[in-house]
Amino acid sequence: MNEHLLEVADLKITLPAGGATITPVDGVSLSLGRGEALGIAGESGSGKTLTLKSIIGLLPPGAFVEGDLRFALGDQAPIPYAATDVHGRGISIIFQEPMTALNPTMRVGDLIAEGPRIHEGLGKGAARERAVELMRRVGIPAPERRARMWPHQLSGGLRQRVMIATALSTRPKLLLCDEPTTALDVSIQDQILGLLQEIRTTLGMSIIFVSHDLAVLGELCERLAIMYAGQVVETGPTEAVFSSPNHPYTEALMTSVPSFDATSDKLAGIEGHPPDPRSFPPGCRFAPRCRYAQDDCAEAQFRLVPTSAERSTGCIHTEVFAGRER
Amino acid sequence: MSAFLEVRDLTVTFRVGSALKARLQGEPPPDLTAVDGISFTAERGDSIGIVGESGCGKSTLAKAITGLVPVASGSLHLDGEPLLAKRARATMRRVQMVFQDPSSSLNPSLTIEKMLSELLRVHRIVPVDKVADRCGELMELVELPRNLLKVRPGRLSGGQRQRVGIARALALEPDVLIADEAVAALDVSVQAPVLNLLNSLRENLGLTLMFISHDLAVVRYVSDRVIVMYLGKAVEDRSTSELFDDPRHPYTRALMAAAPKFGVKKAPGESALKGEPPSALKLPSGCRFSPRCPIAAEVCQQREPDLTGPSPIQRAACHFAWEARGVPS
Amino acid sequence: MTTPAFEAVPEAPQIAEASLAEPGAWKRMPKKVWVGCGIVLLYLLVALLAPVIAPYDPLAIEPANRLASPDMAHLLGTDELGRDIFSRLLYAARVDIPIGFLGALLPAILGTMLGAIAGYFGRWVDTAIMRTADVVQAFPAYILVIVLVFALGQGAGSIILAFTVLAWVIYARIIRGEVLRVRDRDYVQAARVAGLRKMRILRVHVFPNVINQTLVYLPNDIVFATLALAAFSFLGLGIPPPTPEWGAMIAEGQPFLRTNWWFATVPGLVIVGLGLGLSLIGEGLEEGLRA
Repeated sequence: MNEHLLEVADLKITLPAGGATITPVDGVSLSLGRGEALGIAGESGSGKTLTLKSIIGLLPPGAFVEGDLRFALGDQAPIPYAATDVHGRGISIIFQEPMTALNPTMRVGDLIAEGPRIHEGLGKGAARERAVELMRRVGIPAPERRARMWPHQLSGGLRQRVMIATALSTRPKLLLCDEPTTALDVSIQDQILGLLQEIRTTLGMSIIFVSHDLAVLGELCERLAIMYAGQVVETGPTEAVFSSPNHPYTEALMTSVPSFDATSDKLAGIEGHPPDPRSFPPGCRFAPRCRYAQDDCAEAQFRLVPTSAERSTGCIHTEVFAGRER
Repeated sequence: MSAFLEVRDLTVTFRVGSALKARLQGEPPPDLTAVDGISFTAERGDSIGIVGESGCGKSTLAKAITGLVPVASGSLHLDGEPLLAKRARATMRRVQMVFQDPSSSLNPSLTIEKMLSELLRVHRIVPVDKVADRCGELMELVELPRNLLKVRPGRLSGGQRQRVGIARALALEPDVLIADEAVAALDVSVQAPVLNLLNSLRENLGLTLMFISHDLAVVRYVSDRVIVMYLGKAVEDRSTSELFDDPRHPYTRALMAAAPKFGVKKAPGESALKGEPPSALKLPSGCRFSPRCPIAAEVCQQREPDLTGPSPIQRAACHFAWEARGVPS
Repeated sequence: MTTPAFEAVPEAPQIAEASLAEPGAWKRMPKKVWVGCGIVLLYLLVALLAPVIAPYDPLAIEPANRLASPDMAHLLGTDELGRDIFSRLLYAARVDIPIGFLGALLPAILGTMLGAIAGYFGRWVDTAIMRTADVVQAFPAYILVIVLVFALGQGAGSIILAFTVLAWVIYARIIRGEVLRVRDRDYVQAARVAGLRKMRILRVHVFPNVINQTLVYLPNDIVFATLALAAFSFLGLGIPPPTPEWGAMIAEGQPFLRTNWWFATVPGLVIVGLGLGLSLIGEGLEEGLRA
C-alpha cells in the first residue's frame, strides 16, 4: 500500500475580482499520508480555505485552478482526479457554520442518510438505521428522537456533530475541516476536537484541519503548514514548529495571542494587517510586517526551502532563529 | 462610602413565547431569566473580565449596564447615582460600549468624521468650532491616521473598524467602558494591538473597563479581576492571578481544561466537560451546574449555593469551594 | 485611499454593504442603468419640448382628413376626428409621465416612511400601520379607483390619489423588513447607547441604510403606474377626453386595428419603450447595489 493519500503540487487559484484577477492561492504544495492529520494555519485572506475547497472541487464559479492534485482512491499511489470522483466516495468536508451548511428543510436523519442512499443505494429503512448509528457514533444523545428533528432545533454543538455524521456517512478516507470549531463555545470545541481525534484513530482517516488558531491545530495535528498571503511559509511537525518556529510569521502568530498558561506583560502582535490579494508585496509577502525584515527580503524570489528532513521555510533569513528554542 | 460602580441583585428577564397561550394553559407566562441576581462592585480604573460561554448572560449583563435592555429587578449605581433603564442623555454618556462585530458596528453610510462629530455635537463635548480638531485627536488616541476620518467603514480593515468603534465610545468621555467580545471577530494577528490599546487607554484615561469574553486567555491579559458566569449566575468572582492559579469552582476548572493549549495533544474522545448547558427555561434544581459537575454531591441538587467567600473579590458559588484542599477535583 | 478594503476578498466573511451615498457607487453601476437613464431622459425631453416639436395642435380637429394614413404631412396619420396622431403622442407624454412618476413617487415616499416607522418603533405603531396595509391590500383595486373617480371626478388628481392609497403598502412592507434587519445592528445599538433621540437614530442611522430597496423598486413601480394609468384610461376611468393620453389612444385606435393598425399599436410601443428604460434602471440598480 502506498503511504501517500493526497498530493498537491504548485496549486494556484485565480479569481475574478471586479475587472481584475487576483491570485489568493499562489503556488501551494502539500502532501498528506494515510491516517495523518495536517493542520493549515492562517488568517482570513491567507488562502487556506480556498486551498481546502480546491481539494474537493468546491471553488466559487469563475475560479481557475492550476497545479497538480492527486488522491489515492484505492491502495495505489495517488493519481490525478476529478472532483466527482471523490464526492461521496473519498473526501468529505465539514464547515464552520453548520446552520448554513445543513439543508434546513430536511430532517437531521434524512440529511445523514442521504449520502448512503445515493452512493450505496441503501433503502429508506436501512439508511435511516445507518443515520441513527452514525449519530450515536458521533455522540448525539437520544439519536432516534433527534433523527426526526430539524437542524434549527439543535444546539450549535449538536449541529456540528450532525455535520460530522453526514461527512462520515460516505466512509471517507480524508476529512476536510474548515474551522469547524470556531463558532463553538470553548467546552463544546473541546468536545468536538476530542470526537475528531477519536474518529480519526478508530477509523484510520486522514484529516486536513484549517484554522486560525494554532493551539487548536496543535491538539489534533501531527504536521502543520502555515499560510500567509496565498503561500505556505512554513511546514513541519507540530512540536518542532511550536518549539522553534522557522518563520517570523509563525513566531508572530504564536506570540500575538495571549497565552492561557502564563501571564504575559505585553503581547507582541503584528503591526499592520494582511495584504490585499490585489497587490501582494514583492519578494517575501510578510516582509512589510516582519520585525526581522532586511533590505533583500523584498527582492528575493519566494521559495519554500527544506531546513531538515521534515521541515521547510520560506524565510531567507533563518539565521535569526539559529540556536533559539522556545 | 459606596463603590464607584455598584451592581446589586441585577436580574434581567425576557418574555419568550406567548403570554396568552401560557395563560390559557394555566401556567405562568414564560420568562427567560438571562441574568439572575448578579452583584458586584468596581472602583474607578478597575478592569473586570466577565467570562462565560454563549447563553450565560454576559452580553445581557453588559447591555443592562449600558441601558440597552430593561432591568427586571435589582439596582445599578454609578458614583452614587442610579443608572435606570431610561436615563438622561448625560448619564447615558458615562457608560459606553465597544461592540463585537466590526462589520456591523459602524453605520456604512456615514464617514468616520460624520459619525464622531455627530456625537460630539449632540453631547456638546467640545465647542462647535473644536469638533473637527477633537475628531482628529480621537483618531490619534486609538492610533489611527487622521486621514481615515474622511473614509466610510467599508474601506477599513477589521482591526481599524474596531479602533473606530473604540474611538466612538471614547468620544463621549465615559467613565465606564464595556467591551463586548471586542476582539473575537478579529484576525489573531490584529487582536493583540487592540488589546494593548484597551489596556493603555484604561491606564491613561482612568477608565473602568469591563471586558466581556468567552476567552479566558484574553481576559487574563486585560483584566485584574474575573467574574465567571454560568446560566445567568456568577459562579466565581476572583482576582485574575488567584483565579488562574487556584480556580475554586468546578466550572471554572472545566473551562480552563477545555481551552486549547500549545503543544498538548488531544486524547481520543477526551473532553473536559460533558454534555451541553441545560435550557435557561428548564433550570435544574439546586446548583444549576450540578448535572454536568464532576464533584456534584447530594446537597448540590437540593440547595443552590451562594456566591460567597473570604472577601468581596474572593467569591465562588460552590458548596465545596472553600473547603480545605483535598476536595475531589 | 490608504488602506484597501481587505474584507472584500472572497475568504473574508464580511459582506460589503453598498450604499448610493458612497463616492464612486455610481461608477460601479452596470451599463444598463445608463442606457435606461438615456431612454427615460429622451421621454422627459419629449414631454418638455412637445409644444416645440409637435407639428400640430393635438386637439385641433380636421374633419375632412379623418383616419388618414401616414404621409409627410401627418407622420403617423390622423385619428377618427382628424387629429394628428404624432402630435397627440408627444403631448400625451406630458400627461402620462408626470402621472406615472408622481403616482409611483408619492406612494414610495409614504410607504417608505410608514414602513420605517412601523419597523423601528414596533409595538402598537407597527400593528396599526401593518393592519391598515392588510386592509388596503385586501381591497379590490379597481373598485377603489371607481369609487374615487366618482367621488372626486375623473382626472389626474383622482388617479394619483388612488395610486398613493393603494401602492404604499408594498413599500411599507419592504422597508419594514429592511428596518427590522438593520434595527438590531450594533451601530444602531451604539447610537442608542450614545443617548441619541429615536427620530435622529431613525433618520441618520437606520433610514439611509434601508433606502436602497425603495430605489431598486421605484423604477419598476413607475412602469406599473404608467401601465395602470393606460389601463384605467382604456376603461374610461382615467384622463377624460379630449386630452391626449397613451392608454386612451390605444382604446380609441382599437376599432381600427384592421385598417389603421398603427393607430393603436404605436402608443402601445411608446409605453413599452418607457417601460423598458425604467426596467433597465431598476434591474441595473439592483445588480449594482448588490455587488
